[in-house]
Amino acid sequence: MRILLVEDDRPLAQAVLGHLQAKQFSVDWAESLQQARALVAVTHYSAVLLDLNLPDGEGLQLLPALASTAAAQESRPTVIVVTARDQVSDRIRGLDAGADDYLVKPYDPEELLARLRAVERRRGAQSSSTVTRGEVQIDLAREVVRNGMVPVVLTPKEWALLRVLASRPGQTFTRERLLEALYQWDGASDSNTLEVFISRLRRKLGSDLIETVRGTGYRLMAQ
Amino acid sequence: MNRTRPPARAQSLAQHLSRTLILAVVAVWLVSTGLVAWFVDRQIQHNFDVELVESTHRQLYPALLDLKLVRRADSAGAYVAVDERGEPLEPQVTGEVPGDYREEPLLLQLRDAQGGVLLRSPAAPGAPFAAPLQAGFFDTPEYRVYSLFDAPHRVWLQLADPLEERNEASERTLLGLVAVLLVMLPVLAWLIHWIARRELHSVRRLQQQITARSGSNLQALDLAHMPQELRAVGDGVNQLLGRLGEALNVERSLAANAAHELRTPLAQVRLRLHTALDQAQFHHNSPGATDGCVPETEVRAALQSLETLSHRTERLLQLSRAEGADLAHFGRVNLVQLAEQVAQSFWQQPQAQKRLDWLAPDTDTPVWVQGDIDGLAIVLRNLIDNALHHTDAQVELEVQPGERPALVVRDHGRGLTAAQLEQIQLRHARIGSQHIGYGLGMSIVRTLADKHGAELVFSSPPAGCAQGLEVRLVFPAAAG
Repeated sequence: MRILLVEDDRPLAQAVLGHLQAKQFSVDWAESLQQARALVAVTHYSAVLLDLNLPDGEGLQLLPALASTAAAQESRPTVIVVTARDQVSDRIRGLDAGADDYLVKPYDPEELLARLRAVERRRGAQSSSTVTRGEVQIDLAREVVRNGMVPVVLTPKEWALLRVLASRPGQTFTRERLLEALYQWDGASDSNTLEVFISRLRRKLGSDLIETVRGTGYRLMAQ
Repeated sequence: MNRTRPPARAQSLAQHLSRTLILAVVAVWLVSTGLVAWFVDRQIQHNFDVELVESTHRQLYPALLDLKLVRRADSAGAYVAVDERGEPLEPQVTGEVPGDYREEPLLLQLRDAQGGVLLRSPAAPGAPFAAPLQAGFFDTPEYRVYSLFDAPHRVWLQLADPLEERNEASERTLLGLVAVLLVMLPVLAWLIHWIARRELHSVRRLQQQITARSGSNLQALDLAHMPQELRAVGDGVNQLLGRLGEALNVERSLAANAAHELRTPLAQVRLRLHTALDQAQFHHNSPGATDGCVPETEVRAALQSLETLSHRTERLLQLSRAEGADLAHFGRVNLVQLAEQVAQSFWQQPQAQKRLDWLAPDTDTPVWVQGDIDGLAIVLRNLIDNALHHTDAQVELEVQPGERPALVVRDHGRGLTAAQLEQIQLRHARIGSQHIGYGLGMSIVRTLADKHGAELVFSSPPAGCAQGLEVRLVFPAAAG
């Protein structure tokens, strides 16, 4: 998996390079927006680690370049903003601009690795990872849900449930199977908990998206 | 308990000014009235004297005519008040003289060269005035007498003014002046007080403007329509506010720069230590390859120290930001969006992913409050951090809409004892010193809550729960 690191702080960039390369990732490094633009134009990256404070502009300015090159390539890389700005307003701005994730320095390197491995795993497993039902768009690869283009925030448990349902749209999943998905998050989950989470998902994504199959379980509405 | 006595109520400037002015004006008026009374008295005496002299000259000829009718002059042409035998003659009374019909009739005596009274007006005494026969004025205990000598007939004409009459005139004048003083003084006092209050309105306006200034409101004072003296004071205050604002801005930008300058090297050291840890583990698992490698325990200890340093640095940066939170930068904050963003940042941490629940409200309606979104995020992060660090149980994050919306962080851990609960409500409370930055965290939360006018409510156990701790940040009701 090829990663682009956009970071102007040399010692930090070298530390990241050293760490990721030791973990067998292939990493290119750009010190500025200009260098980053040049690299994404000729290379396809699975993920971009993007600093916001760059000498020739703000990191988010790279996002349009990534979108324009994505059409010619397989898909747009996953963008993880890695910045010292910890304010919620910056985070909202970054995610609104199209970043997929947001890590605040000094982050736990294990956290960064977990994200990159998730990107790797999803890319390997899913060829077509987006499920669209009406206004709702579920991007399983990026773990992003949009309802009428508005991003919807799901809790990890809601995601665990939706991931199972969206993995095979139209197929009915038993309550036991769904509870099992929840169980990995919360050992104390019971059948009432399942109802609560299904209800929350319906509230956030529309009441028609998840159908109740009487006596059996639930399913994501068929095409 | 050390209680300071409340300061004595300060006197109002308007009252002080009007009192001083009134006292000064009364003093000046009294002196002026005294001088006026003295001058008027002199003038009255002068007028009386002039009138007396004129009357004497006017009465001389009629008196001589009256005398010719009743007396014959001697061979030398002089009139005397004795007969041929030297016996005194009764003084003759004149006919009607001017003023007879008045309360103060004319007092006139025509006397011979020896002092005997030849003729007198009806109101004049029969005995001669106690004034010597010499031209001009003379004051007796009762009268002021003017004497005029008629050389051809060798007689003296004396006219007398009762002194009492003159004194009464002076007293009447003085009384009039004092009466005016007494009537006008209260009017003047009221007028001075009213003017002082009106003119000091600018001072009050300036004072109200200065009172409205605070750490979060350093707007320059409006000095339009201010008098020159106050404008100088206001300019001074504005300069001070400007310098204070600059100092605060420097402090804020310092905090923002410090955040960037500190976090980047911390991230670098953390990565380096993780890489070193990987290598140490690799060498540990490869016997005979330990040369030149730092032991794993040392790296772990360094990482632990770095965690502590990062945590404290973070807290100090938050505290700096909390204290610099500025009302001027407050805006509308949707608590639901805020809670979702903060929850998402926690879900990125593997240890928090399974333990933090976000209980979204039943409706999609935003819950708006007035505040600083980044400051409120710091509050939430601290409350959630505390809950995650001090318990192993589930932690719930909730937004409660309503007239007074609230952010709620609830855990189902052991909770606090009654004594701890009481202690944590106090300012600068700190429960146990083993938890790094706990007290500082609460101090940050309190500072930011205060800046938002929000109330921190602690409940242990939360209502309807067997155990745990609930912290509610209750916002004030929206104005209007």
